[in-house]
Amino acid sequence: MNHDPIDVRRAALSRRRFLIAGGASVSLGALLAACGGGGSSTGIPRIGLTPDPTELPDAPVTDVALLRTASSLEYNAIFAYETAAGLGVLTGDAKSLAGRFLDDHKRHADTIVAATEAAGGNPWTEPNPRLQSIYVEPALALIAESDDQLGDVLALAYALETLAGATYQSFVPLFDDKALRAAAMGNGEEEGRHAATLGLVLNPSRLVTSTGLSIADEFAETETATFYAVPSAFGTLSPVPVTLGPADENGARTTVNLETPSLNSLVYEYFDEE
Amino acid sequence: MTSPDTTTPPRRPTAGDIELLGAAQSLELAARDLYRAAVAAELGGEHQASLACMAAHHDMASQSISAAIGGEAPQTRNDEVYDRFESGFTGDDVALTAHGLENSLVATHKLLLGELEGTEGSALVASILIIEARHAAALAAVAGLSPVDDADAFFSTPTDAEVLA
Repeated sequence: MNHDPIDVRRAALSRRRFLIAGGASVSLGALLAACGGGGSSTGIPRIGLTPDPTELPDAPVTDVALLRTASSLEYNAIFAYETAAGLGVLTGDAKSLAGRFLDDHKRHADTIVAATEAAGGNPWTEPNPRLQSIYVEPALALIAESDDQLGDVLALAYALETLAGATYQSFVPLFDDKALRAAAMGNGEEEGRHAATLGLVLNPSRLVTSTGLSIADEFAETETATFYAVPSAFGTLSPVPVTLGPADENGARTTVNLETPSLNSLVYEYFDEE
Repeated sequence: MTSPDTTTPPRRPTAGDIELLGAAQSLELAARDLYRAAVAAELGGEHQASLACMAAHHDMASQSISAAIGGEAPQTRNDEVYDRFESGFTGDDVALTAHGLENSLVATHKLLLGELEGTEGSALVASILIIEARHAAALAAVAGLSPVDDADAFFSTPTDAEVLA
């Protein structure tokens, strides 16, 4: 490394010249901007033309927006179960269970649609567009290529039911109307029961995980599993991972992380005006 | 477009909420003690560990409620509920009795959600309720019921589920 004091001084001079040159460029730009025409000057000097900003829509998180989002998730689930039924891999008890879950989601959707109307809103009767495109359709596409379609359908159903329950849970503190909190959890607890039953099917040997619990050693698990009827002490709002589809050349499969709807995924009332 | 409600619910529990959440804590402590009695009597069979975990869940629920309402938490179990369910939890029908208790807890907590003003308390109760619903489904299986033939035992809270005080 060169530590010659003359070279160091030259380098400092070069930086100074650069700063001076840069300052001159900015000043020249400001001068040109000030001289330029334009009827909508903001008084802020600028170079070139900028488009007028698009005003963001008014998107309050109202009870109606939450209800529309809740019904949209029910339609996501209806779509998923109907698509899974079309694969023809569900038979016997699995087919009966899926039929029951489908009926429950249709009933839940009806109750939420009615609640939306009662709250003065326009009901939403389609799948949530964002969740459909980032979770449901990619997951179903993976299952279509899977070597274990039945296992993947059950795993996706477990994840979707867990997500649906968590979504209702997450909406409880957001509702202004207390009656809607109770009504939401009427649906949410049934989604939780669906998930629990799928957990029983996928992991019948251990119903409740001991992870995070202070219990006697004799009851603690030595290894944790992916599926449980009861996976935690409290309903969590953390992402629900589900691994689906065929393995790649390295043996790795795709994991999709399902998350409760963020502000970008709510079905706002302004959607109706677009 | 519907206008947003201008009345924002309180976050922290109100005085009325504290009373309601205190009662809920006593119920959770009763449930914890009932499961502990079943585990001590070794009535869980191959699902003994799951019963021990459920006892721990109810204990954690009671602790979280205590944290939410602070010094006004009763910290005592609801003896009336404990006494009513004790024989079932220490007899041959432990799974069915526990299933009934969990359904009653779910029904009680749903009613509570319709009464609580504060959003923190509501969020906590919702997070407890959804796990107790999962307990009920798991216990239906432990009791030997079938999710196909006895579907309602797994998938819904009975309309006549007793609301506990």
